[in-house]
Amino acid sequence: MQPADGVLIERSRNGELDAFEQIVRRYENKVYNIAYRFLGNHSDAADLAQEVFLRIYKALPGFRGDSSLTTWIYRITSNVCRDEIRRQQRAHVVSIDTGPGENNAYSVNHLENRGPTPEEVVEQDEFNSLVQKCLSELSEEHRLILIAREMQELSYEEIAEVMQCSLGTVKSRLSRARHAFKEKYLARREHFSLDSRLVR
Amino acid sequence: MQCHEVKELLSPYLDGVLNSAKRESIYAHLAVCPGCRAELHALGEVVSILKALPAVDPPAGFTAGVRMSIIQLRATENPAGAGQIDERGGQAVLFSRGAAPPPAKGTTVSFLKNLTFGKWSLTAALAATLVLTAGVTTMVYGLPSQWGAKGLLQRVVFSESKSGFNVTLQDDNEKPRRDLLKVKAPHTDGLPQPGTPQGREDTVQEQNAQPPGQLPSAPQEQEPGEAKAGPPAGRQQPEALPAAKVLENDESRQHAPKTFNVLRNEKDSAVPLQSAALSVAAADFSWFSGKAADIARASGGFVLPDGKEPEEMTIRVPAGRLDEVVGLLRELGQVQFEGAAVNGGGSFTDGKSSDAPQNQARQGIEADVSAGEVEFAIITIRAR
Repeated sequence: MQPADGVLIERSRNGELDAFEQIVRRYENKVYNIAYRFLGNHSDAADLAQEVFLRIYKALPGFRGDSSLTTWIYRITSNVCRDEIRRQQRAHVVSIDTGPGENNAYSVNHLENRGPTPEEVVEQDEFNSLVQKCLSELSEEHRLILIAREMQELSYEEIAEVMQCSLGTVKSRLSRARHAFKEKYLARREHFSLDSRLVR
Repeated sequence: MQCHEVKELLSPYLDGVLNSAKRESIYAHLAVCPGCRAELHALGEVVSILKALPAVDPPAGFTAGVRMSIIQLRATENPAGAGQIDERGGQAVLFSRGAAPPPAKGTTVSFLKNLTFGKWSLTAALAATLVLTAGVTTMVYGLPSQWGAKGLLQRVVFSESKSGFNVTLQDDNEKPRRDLLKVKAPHTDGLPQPGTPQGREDTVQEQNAQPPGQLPSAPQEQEPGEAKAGPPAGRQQPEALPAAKVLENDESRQHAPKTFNVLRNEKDSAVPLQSAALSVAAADFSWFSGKAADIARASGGFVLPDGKEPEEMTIRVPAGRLDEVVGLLRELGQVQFEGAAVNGGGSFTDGKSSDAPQNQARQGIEADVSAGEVEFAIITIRAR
C-alpha cells in the first residue's frame, strides 16, 4: 500500500530523499504532461518538469497543507510554465515537436485497438500536431486553463484554487479559452485534409 | 435570453456547472436557435479534441535525474553544511527542521568549514584527512587475502616537499613507478572552492581535457601489449596528474611520508584490470558518507553493508556513471586530492586494516559476473 501524500510530505520534510522521490514518481506524469502540452516539445518539457520538482523541493519546508498536495503541485507547475513562457518570449524561442513520434502513446494505443493503416497513423499524428500548434498559439492563461480542464480534468473549484481566482473567473476564462481555441482550430483546419471535426 | 448572452454561458452549460434557472433558460433558447446549437456543438468538439490528445510519458530516468539535481543542489547550496545533514534509519536527511546549530570550534565540522574557506593547514588536513579511495574494477581479480601472496600490492607514498605534496606509486623494492598525484605548493590564500568553475577547469586541463568529473580512467600503461616498464623515477605522467592547489603552510611540511599499499596494476599479469583511484580529504565522515550514499543511490547504485571498521563504507555505482558520481563527490566540498588514477589499481589499503570492504566488493563483482548483470564500479570510502 502506497503511503498517503501527507505521510510522504512529512517524511520529506524530515529530509528523507526516498520519500521525496516517491512524490516525484507519483506526480511526474501529471507535471510532465502539463509541461509538454504547455510548451509543445519534449526537450523543454523535461527541463521544465525537472524545474518544477526542484521548486517543490525547495518550497516543501514551507508547505502548510492549506491546499492538497495535488493543487499545490499544479500551482507550482503553472507558475513555472508562466516563467518559462516569459523567458522564451525574451529569447524569442518557439519549438514544437511535429511529425511522427510526437504522439507515440496515442499511436501505439491506436494501433492496438483499431489497427489503423500506416496512413491513418500518420494522419493522426499530423492532426495531433495541428491541435498542439493551436494550443501553443493561445495565451498562457488560456493554455493553462484548457490543459487543467480538458487534459488534467480538474474541477472548476480545483482550477480556481490552482489559479487562485474566483469560480466566476474560471467560468469566463475557460469559455474564452475554448472559443479562442476553436477559432485557431478552424483557421488551421482549412489547410488540413482530415474530415471536418467542427461545425462552424 | 439573447444569443450573445447564451454563447457566453455555453461553456459552463456544457460542463453542467450552471444553476438550474440559467440552465433551463439556455435549454429553452437552444431549442429555437440553430446558430447557438451549432456553437454548442462546436464547443463540444473542442473539448473532445483536447481530451483526445494522448498522454505522454516522461523520459526514462526522469526521477533519477530529479534526484541527482536535488543532490547537486544540496551540494551547491550547502557545500560545507555538515550541520544540516544527518542520518535517519539509513536515509539521508535533506534539510533539518530548524536552523542548524553552528559548529563548535575544534570540531570536525569547524575544521571542515575552515578547510572549505581556505583557513586550514596541511598539518591539520593530514591529521584529519579522510581518505576516500575509489577502486574501480570491472573484472575479477584475486581475493584480497591473496593480493599480498600474488604480489599484487604495491605502495602509494605520500610525501611533502617545498614544491608541494606528492603521491607516488612504488614497487616493493621502493623504486618509484610513477607519480599518482602532485599537489602544487599554493600561490593563493586558500583552496579553490570545490565545484566552482575555476576548480573544475583546473582539473579538466590537468586531466588532458577529459570531461568534467571524469576520472582519468584506464591509464595508457594498462592497455595490453604496451611496454611493461614504468616511467623513470620521479617523472610525471601528465595524464595521471590532476593537481589540486593547496594553501602554503610551512608547518605542514613536517610529516613523514604516509604509505599505503594499493592493488598493483596488473599490466604484467594476464588479468587486465581496469581501474582508477582517487583520494580525498574530508572531515566529518558520517556527513560525508551520508552524502556519498545519496549519490550512490541516485546513480542507480547502492551501499554495501557496513564493514568492520566504524568509519568506512563501500558503495557501488554503475560503472558507466562512475565519472558522474566522482564529479558529484568532488562537489561535496571536501575533496582535496583527487584524480590519482592508479594503473589497474584497486582500493587503497594500508596493509594492516580490515579487508572487509574489499571482500565485499570482490564478492559483489563475482556476483555480477556470474549473473551477467551490469558492471558496477566500487568506491571504498575510509576515514583516516
